[in-house]
Amino acid sequence: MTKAKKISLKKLEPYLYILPAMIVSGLFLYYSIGFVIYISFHDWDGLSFNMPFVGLENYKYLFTDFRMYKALFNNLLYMFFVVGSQVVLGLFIAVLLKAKLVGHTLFKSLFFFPTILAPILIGGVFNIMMDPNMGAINRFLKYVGLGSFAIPWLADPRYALMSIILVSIFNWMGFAMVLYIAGLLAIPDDIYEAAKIDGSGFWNTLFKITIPMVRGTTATMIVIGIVGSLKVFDIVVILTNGGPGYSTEVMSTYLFKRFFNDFNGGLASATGVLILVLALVMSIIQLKIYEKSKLTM
Amino acid sequence: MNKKIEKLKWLGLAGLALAFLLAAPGIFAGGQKEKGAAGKITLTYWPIVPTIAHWKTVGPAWSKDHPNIRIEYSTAASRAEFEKKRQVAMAGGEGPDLLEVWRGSDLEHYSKMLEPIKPWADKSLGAGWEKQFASFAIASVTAKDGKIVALPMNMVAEEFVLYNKSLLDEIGVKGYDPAPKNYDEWKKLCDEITTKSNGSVIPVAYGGKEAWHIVDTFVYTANQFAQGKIYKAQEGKVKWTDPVFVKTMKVMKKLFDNIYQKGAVGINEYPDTRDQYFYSRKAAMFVTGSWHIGGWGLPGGEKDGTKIEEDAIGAFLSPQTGTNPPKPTFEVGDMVAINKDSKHKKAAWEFVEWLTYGKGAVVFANLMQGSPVKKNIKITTLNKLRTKTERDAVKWLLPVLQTSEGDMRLAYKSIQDALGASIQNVVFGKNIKDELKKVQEVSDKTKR
Amino acid sequence: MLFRIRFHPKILIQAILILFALVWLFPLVAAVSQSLKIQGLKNYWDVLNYPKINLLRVIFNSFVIAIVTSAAVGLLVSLASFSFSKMKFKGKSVLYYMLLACLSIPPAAIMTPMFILVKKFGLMNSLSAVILPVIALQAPFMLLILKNYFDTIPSALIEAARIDGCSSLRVFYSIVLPLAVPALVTIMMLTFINAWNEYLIPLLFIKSTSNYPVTLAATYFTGGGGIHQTPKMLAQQYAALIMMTIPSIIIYIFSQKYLQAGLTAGALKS
Repeated sequence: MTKAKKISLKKLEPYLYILPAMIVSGLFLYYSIGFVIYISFHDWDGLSFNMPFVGLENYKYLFTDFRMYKALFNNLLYMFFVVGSQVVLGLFIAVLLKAKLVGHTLFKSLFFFPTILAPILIGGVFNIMMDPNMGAINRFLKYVGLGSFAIPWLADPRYALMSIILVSIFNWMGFAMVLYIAGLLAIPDDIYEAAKIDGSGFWNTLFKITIPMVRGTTATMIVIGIVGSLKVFDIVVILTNGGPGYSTEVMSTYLFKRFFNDFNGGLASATGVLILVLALVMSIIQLKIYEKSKLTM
Repeated sequence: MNKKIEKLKWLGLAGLALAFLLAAPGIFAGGQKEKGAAGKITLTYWPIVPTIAHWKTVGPAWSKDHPNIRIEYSTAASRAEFEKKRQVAMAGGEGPDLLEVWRGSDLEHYSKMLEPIKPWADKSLGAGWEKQFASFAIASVTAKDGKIVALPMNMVAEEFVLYNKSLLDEIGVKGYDPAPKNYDEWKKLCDEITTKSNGSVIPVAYGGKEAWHIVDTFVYTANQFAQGKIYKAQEGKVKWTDPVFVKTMKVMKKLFDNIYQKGAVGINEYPDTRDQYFYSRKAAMFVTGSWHIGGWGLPGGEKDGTKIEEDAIGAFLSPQTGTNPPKPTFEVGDMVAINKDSKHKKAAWEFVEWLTYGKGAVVFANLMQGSPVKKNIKITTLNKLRTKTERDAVKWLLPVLQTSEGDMRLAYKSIQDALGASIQNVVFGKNIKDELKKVQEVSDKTKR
Repeated sequence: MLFRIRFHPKILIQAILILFALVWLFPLVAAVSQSLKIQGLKNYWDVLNYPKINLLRVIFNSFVIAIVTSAAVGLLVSLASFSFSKMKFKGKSVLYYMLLACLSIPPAAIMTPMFILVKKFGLMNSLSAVILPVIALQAPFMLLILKNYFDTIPSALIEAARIDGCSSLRVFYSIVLPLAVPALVTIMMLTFINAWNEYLIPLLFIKSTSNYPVTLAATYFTGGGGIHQTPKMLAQQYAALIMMTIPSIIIYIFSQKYLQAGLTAGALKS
């Protein structure tokens, strides 16, 4: 092998490592993304492929539809609370579990368990538990004398989105916890020991050492949270299907209803493009902030 | 440590090798070709009705007489999932041989992908076969271009109220006989239940989460103010802000405030309202459609094992809340169509004929999923119902259905969604005019 | 100080964990009690003996899907993460964001194009019709997690090895991978669970019942379309959905052992 060839191979090397992932994901997803972008400029009924080009019509519809704004607003609210609580709770529980007290594996498994469950099971159970009249939650609250907190969880536009957020936290906290546990393992023990010798307390250690050290995991969690929240679908459909009224409509349920109820594949595709752009922009901003914070550290 | 890496590596390589192996088509029973004796045909059939439970009766009845045509039946967990699976498969040219479509925009959108039925029926049943079906039923399976693209299986109607006679007798409530005729009588009955049971029995259970149910109730009510006006509105010929719909909205609010259980807008009709309220004996009445009168009480049916298994369940027409006496609204509940791309159209037609016209129609009618639309079919399973009350309810129902007028469901799902959301908003005190304007906005954008 | 944590830290931590555990246990108990309605434990027995389901076949199918997917994702993603995290090259961030874009697309929007592709490749109705799309959907997600973990491995370690003349593959294999075991095992476990629970893709791409995974088989207990799901069937559906989680639990417990091993690997460090 000549030297020149060797150098060019060296240059190609990084790309070769990425190639397999790019081929598999790219093959399916770039084709699909391209398809969705293409369709978003056409009038498509979601069935036949005889579709006229309509330019920006679908986007015009999308941006003048009051339902989309409601869905977007709800979705951002959902994202803010779910991502925030995932990061805080997931890290908090992971740190507590690090103390390795009695039964910590049991606790860990219990918190992780909901992420294994099918959405239909979680949704079905919460539908029953959150029933305003005979749901277990309200009966329990009344039993312990907290009757004033016995609200119609899913049956009131004021509370429905909050209830979905609570269920989502139950569902996904374990996921954040597992990632944080793996992240905490990367922090060398001697850093903690040094802190202990310096007499650093629990909170001090948490804020001065742990949180900065798992910054990367937090950044990942936030990106996953942003993307996951903008795509949230199953649990909303099962718990409220966007109601009462439009109080829990999110981008994905809006997209789904336009696609399969209205046979408006063009509009649904435009919605898909909007979700894609929003998620991508927010993720990139988040990652940029993270990169910057790494430099200042 | 490295040993573990070693293991992971081999697992990875083995997995990848397996992935490429599997990627070759045909392995692991891929491909659509069915093995079997020569001349044996397999048809795929995707319906919601017959349900899995129905198919246990309908399926064997078919195979018994048609050993050479095997039907591969499959459905989905919910109507929404079914629609997703069907639409993606049909768009991709991989649809089933036989499928279910529904009246309105659904049938209209699929019509170009469905086999016109008339030529097949003319050939096999002779001209004039349409007269064997109720005329509304044939209209329901006809697309706007005049082609018949499916055949009807049954008729369902709304809105009915089931009541638990045994439970009411126990707490000493007699107000169900005679059945309440209007809102005030209904309210009186509800109050009597609350008083006599000390609030332990919920008078009426209603599932108001899904758009289909609240909108069906809205249609039923709107027709009591002005028969048929709502159908003009959905075609864009009458504004949704019309006073009739304002009045109907007011009634809806009244029903949710005073008649239906607390939080009804957040509870599914199926399974939650049915199971958690009516079947668990917590509620005395349950608002539903004609499909829930009869068949569910058959042995092996829904009632089995529930707290109301031995109870006598009666039914009455949902009381008058508008200016005119109510009439049931109705439609073809279920139909079966043939995919235009099917490779076995002849066999598929044989099945359609059997299920809607021939022996299968009788088998299906006896399951009491709605009532027959083919003339001269007698239900012979009535005596299998456990109580006289239930048998009487079915006997009472059949002539009542004859008085039905107007479509039960809106034909455009986009409008149904918007109207459903607006009704829920009104229930929570939002301004009726504003909400109806939103419906109008969506209605204006709906393609017809 | 907000809490008197210095004085009774262990008791306080234990109390907080127990409180959370009770909240988390509540819905799970409710799910189990739903699965015992009408017939009690017989619901579970009935699910296992449901005549329409070839239980072994269905479980086998799901296992093939989940194992192949998780192995392939583990391999593809660790290679790509290594490159993104530890190598310098042109267009790195663009390529990375392109993979991120794959993450952001809502599944409902891309089902039709996916379907067309699967059909074009002649995969329709085979297990690979599920495996390949699931790999494609899971890989970007897992890449994000693993790349972040690779970032925490000190670059000095790698540069030292490269100066010693190790090839990049060797660096990857004998330095980076051993250090990344906890994260690698975590993503492979998550992929296994996600693939095992995958519902939408088999629903659309698998027609013949002999290729059904467990998630589709569980829909037998919905009665079809949700109507005419008897209360007994509903209880059986809960039983089926609960039993379905058993392999995921086993994989989870199995993966926890590797997380312990990762601890010692982390202690190796520079």
